[in-house]
Amino acid sequence: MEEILRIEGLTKHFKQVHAVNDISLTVNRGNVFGLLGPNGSGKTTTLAMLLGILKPTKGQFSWFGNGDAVENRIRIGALLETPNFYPYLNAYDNLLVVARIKKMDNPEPRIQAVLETVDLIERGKRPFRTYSLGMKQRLAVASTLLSDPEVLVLDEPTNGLDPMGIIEIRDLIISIANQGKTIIIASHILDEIEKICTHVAILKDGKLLQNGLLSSFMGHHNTYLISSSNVSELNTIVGSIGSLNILETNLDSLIIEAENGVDGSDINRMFVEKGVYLSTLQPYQKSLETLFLETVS
Amino acid sequence: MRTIINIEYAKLKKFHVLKILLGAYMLVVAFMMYLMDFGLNQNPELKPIFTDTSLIEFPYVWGFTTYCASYCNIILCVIIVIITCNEIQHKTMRQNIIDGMTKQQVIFGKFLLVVFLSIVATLFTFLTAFFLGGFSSGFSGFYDNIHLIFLYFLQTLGYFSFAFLFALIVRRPALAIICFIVYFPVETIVGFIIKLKVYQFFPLKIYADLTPIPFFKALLAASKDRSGASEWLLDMDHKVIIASVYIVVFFAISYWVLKRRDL
Repeated sequence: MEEILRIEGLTKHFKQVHAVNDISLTVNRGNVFGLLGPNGSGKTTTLAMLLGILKPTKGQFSWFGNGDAVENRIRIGALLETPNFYPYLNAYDNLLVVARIKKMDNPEPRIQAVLETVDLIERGKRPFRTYSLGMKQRLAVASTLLSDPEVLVLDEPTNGLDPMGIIEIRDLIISIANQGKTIIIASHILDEIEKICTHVAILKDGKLLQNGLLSSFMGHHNTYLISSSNVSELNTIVGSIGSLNILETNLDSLIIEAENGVDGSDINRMFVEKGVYLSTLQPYQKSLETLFLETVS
Repeated sequence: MRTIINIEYAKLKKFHVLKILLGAYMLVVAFMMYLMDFGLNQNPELKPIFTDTSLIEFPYVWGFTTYCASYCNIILCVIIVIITCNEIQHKTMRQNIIDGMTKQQVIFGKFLLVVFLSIVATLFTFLTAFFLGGFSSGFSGFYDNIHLIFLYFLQTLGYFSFAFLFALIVRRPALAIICFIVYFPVETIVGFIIKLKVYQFFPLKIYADLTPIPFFKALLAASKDRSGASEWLLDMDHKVIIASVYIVVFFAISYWVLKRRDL
């Protein structure tokens, strides 16, 4: 798989504050890479270094195998923290500035298209300073899409949006990801990341705690959630079956792990043979929230 | 360079403050000139003290126009400060870099803005003098003292580069404008305290001296006597060189500040 971004030992210190400490990771083409972490964990600082805003104290990174050359940034659409635009210009004119920087030829049709995508054709005719937070965020997303970039870097893209806006932006990101684009997204809204990302990295206090394929973190193979009218009876039965193991006991269910080669139908049969009919039997996946809390606490 | 001009044009074409302040600059220059000329015409007994002929005839009109315009440079400096501070405060300078500009290109864009405003101010001053002089007494003596237009261009470049540096360091538009305006009297007060031998090298003093009082005959004569008597008093050639050095230094410091600073 083609490597889009390689980070090696990236470090940023602000005097006594160690904002980012020795982070190394890679992002491949087509990945939707979530950067997770509590506030102050170093997500935005990391992205700011990758986008040329902050100078790393130590370490290096390379976009498209081409180092940190400024031309790389023309191939990237990025939104860092709050949307930053000229307050006296309307949506179209602000995007025209971005188009000029991206050296786009004949940008007008493309500007119209992205404004339509984020529903700012009509409402975007007013100056930027009059926009609601949601409109500002939409314009920022439009600006990242403007040059049809190979990579999108989004820092808290749904900040300030209402629930409908969040769903729209999330669907938009998923549709972009489906086009095979690489997306790096920083957020502390775990539900958002879980629905969008293929890979995650978890940061805390500037340190990288986890990094890899999201499904490999969240799903244990052969882990199931089972329930019946009598949970204590379930407990006893699982204890008597050697190929099953209890991971977690809840009030109305159990989470069990089965040996390799034992699947859901085998488990169902085992319980029927013991005279118990399961009301629930389904593969169990940890939520990203659980994974995140386990990792950072 | 064309790309950077396109970018700066896209940013500023709808910035109404720029148009309003440019208009104000032109109006104030014209009004100042009118007031001075009107004042002298109303008091003909004062005329011999100031000038042999009219203020708006060639070649005096060059000095008269550039001198009046030099007082209005502050308006254009305010434009530079507002534009630069806004870019920092609204984080658009940072966004420009995220979108693909280098810090060098960003600062070069602002340098072009400074040069553009200098050219606009100089062109306006030239055209004002050209039409005033031409309509009042024809074009005889047109080329005498025309070098004052070049000196005015250098002066605007000097003030604007200084304003740009102020804006980059202070960052907040209102505070930067106040600091910049306060710096003028501060330098003048310092000039009263220290010896002229040293004060004549101060940046704003050098810039101001590029367009000296053109029509006060007695002062001119005194100045000539003084320069003849004092070996250390800078002549215009030296002032031009030192003003140019200041401009380069101010831009170099601005570049260094921006290059070094995290956005």
